[in-house]
Amino acid sequence: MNSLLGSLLTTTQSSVLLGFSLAICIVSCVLCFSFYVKFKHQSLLNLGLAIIAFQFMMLMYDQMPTQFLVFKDNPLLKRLAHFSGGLIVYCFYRLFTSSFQPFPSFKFITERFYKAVIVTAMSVRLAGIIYPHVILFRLASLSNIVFYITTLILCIRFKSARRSMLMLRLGCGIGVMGLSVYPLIRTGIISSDFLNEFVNYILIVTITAFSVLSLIGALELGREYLDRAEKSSLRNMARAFIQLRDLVNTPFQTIDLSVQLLRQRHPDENMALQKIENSLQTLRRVDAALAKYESSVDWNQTESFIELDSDLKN
Amino acid sequence: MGASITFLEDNEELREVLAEVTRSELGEEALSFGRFDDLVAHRTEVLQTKMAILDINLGADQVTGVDVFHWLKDQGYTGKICFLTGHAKAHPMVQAASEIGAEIWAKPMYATTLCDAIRSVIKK
Repeated sequence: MNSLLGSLLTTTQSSVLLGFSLAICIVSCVLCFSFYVKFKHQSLLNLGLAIIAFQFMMLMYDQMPTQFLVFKDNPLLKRLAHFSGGLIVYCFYRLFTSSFQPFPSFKFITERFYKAVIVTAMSVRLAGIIYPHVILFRLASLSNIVFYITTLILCIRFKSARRSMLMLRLGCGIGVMGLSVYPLIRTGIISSDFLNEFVNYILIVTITAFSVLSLIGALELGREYLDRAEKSSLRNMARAFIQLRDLVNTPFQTIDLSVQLLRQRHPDENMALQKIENSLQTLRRVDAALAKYESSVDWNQTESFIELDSDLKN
Repeated sequence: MGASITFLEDNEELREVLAEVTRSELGEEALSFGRFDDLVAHRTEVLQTKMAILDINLGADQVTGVDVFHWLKDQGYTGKICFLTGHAKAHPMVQAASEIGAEIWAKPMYATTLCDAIRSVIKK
């Protein structure tokens, strides 16, 4: 891939940059998949896949002759190129829709329009894999550019207070911006050697930025999920407290009324009754202490109430 | 003399103790039921009582105290209806009960407080 950087960077500098980019990508992917296994959130899986797709595409294209369009002797490479192009479109689409859900508040690029762009890009890629003709490659480049620009606009429009989403949005925006310049080289629109190398350089920088931002985004997502898991544990504990309190309140009331009856009918047992009342007083304090957890309970989750209630009644 | 209080409580021990305390402390007879069907079966007697004290959660797959409240109102019940519940104030069933404007008493109430509250209604 060093050849991509051409004369803009020295071999050592470009090797360091690419090594850094690759290392960050690997770390990001491992992190995303680990978090996905733990939290089962689709965004993390899609982010990991998008990083792999991006890297795969870069490595893939690095194996190609510079003027991809004119090489005619290796249809397998052309098919692989279409596959990697389709893969990255799909992964970015999945990442974008699963993470951001930007459509309800967006008038101009509707979900239907965005899906149509995806279907078009993917269809052309599929056709390219089956029949790797040069026309299909041009069409694929064109449809990819439409997809990248649409995604970029959605990234710019997307608003979120969450840091993880901000990082992913920045990463996606920079990633698709870099990707959108790439077809310019491959379709031969840019013929100048310097501009060609410059665009390649932009691509390397964007993939590195995408990797770094993805890593930060994945870390932030992980932190958010850990926070959420911690809060969820506390809520569950609070719910268990309140649930137990609710279940003992009826027997508690029964004992209290029974003591009243006994006091009336057996006044000679005053000492024993006083002991029971003192104990009930202590239980009242426990009851009041548990009542503080009421506000922490999510009352929409009623499953465990039913389970514990029926367990006790059985 | 007919009963002046209706209790609907799914816990058998509490149901019996409530009726006994009413009789013993207030000198009033009480009807006590564990299920809504039993209460419906004694509709005439129930409608003649001055007060109905309902548990809100009558068990899984059962009607709630709020449903019974509406049934009593539909039947033209003119007595006071109160809920006696062990659930937290923020519990959805308790919220539903408070939305209909009924008085809600939280278990465990002191026996004397409970008796005073009942007395204040039926002696009016």
